[in-house]
Amino acid sequence: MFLTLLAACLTAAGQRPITSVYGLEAGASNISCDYLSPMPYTGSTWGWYGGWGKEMKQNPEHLVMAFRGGISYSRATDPAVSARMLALSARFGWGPSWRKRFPHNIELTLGAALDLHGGALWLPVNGNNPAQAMAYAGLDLTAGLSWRTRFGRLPVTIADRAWLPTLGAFFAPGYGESYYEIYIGNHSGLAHFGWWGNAAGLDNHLTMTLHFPKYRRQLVLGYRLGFNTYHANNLTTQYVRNAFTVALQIN
Amino acid sequence: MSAMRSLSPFRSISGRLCAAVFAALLWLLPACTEPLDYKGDVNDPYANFDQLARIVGDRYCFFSQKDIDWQGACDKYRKRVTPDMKQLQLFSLMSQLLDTLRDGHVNLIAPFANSYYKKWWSDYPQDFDERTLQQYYLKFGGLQKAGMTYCVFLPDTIGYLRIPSFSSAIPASTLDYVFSYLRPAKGLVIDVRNNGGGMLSNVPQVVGRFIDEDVCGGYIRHKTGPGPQEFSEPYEIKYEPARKHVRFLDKPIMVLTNRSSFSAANDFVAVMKSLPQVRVVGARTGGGGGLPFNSQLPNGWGIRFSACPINDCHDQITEFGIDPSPGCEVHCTPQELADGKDRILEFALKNILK
Repeated sequence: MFLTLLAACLTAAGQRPITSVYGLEAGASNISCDYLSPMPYTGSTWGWYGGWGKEMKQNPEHLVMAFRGGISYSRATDPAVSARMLALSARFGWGPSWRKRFPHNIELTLGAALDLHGGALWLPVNGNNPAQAMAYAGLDLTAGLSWRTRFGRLPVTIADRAWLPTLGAFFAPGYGESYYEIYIGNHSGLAHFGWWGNAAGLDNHLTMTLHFPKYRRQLVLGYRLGFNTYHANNLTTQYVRNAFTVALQIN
Repeated sequence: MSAMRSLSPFRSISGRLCAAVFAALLWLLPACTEPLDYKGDVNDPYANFDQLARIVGDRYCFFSQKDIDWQGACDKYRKRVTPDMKQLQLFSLMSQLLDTLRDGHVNLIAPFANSYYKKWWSDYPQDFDERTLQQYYLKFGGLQKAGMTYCVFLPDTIGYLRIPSFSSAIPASTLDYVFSYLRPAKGLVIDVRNNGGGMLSNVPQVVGRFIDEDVCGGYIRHKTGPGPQEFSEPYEIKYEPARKHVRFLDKPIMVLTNRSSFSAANDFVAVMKSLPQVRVVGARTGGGGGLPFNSQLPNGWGIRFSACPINDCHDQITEFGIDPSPGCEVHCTPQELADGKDRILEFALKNILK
């Protein structure tokens, strides 16, 4: 609902065109969480994502803003295939970018974005500590490179967009701290200042957009690499997703 | 011709450069992440033994209180590991190693069996028999709800509430009914004998019915790192009165215990004992004063162990059990129980109003 509302606001904001993308993704996930288990988990992942972009009225040629959101679900097993870990996460981001067009239909964008990322890992086989929360809020650096060309008569745009978490705050319980202790009120040491040294991550989306001149909709095929690593309190949580994506882009 | 046209973008230098950049991205991006893969043989007995030793060594919380030389124990038992050990042999060996922790919260969890250290109760008299209680004192009656049994003993109108387990959540509404029924009683006997624990969140639910102001229920710590002395500062566990619910205040209470009152029941007894109107009657509880944690071995077996010590309101360890109140230690011999005599309950009914 929030996404729909935002899209409506963007539409109402002016006559500058809005590019919307709605897509699905499926692929592989790798999860490692010391709090739940010392063993790495591997499995599959699915997700939905959406993105909205438009030129900013202050300088439509060089300033664009983008909003994106997505949810993902992963299911993974340990090396002995004896236990299953589930991961559910959601991500929202918004930010402006500076755009520079180059000859030969090459375009470069650089910017910054607010990034909210939250979710939970669940390992049901752990009776006493079955879940681990993930939460990150911070500032990302964003970069994009696109090249509009043709395959035969079909116009295509090949693009790569990356979001790089830079500074922020994230959640981590104590090394051996139970969620019961947090529940009864001990909240000290849970929030951590995050930077590349303890909250490294990347969300990189490589896409090829197939433009069908007769239609307002384009088909976007892509590959997404997303990983987040949080290290605090002698605990490391790493969540990696490699997924192929298919989406519809609406101009 | 059409193939030539489709390749045309790559003829220019910029086109080739762009193509190279995107191809490199596609190729290199998956390599950006360190592969999260377990390289070893998941069934290697040495790897599994070593991981068990490391997990417990890093995270177990009662080494110093129990004076356990964990490294020495690991060295001793590791000599008995062989490359071709059967699963059951490895399980048995690891279980023996874990028994050196002398902890009822420690389990090795395999698909075919769970290890379980029993000596925390099997080396002590049971002091209780459910059949004797039900047959000779409750007459197989009493009201039952949420696993609890409650009634009022006449003619002295002494309330009786048996809580045999904390394994399921006790709804507040159920406790309202229970204490509405028991409130006219002159005193209350709460029987947690053979209560092996369960959900710690049940303890404040019940304790809140007996207090009129916030009380300190104890202190909890957790490990902050793998070092043996890396513990957090104690955090006070506060218990609040259940002001919006039916309570049982300003009347004497006796809590009946035996060696099989363990874990959450042990915590319950520790908190109740700190209240001025409460006396603990029976035998020392079984302990279990460490909140357990789970972890995992390469072969998929689970390991459960005490990780967060919960001390009483004087910050004294509860892992070794809670003693009865002075003058209230009572035992039942097996013969007495077989004869239908529950001395602990009788002591409570006789002395609660004194």
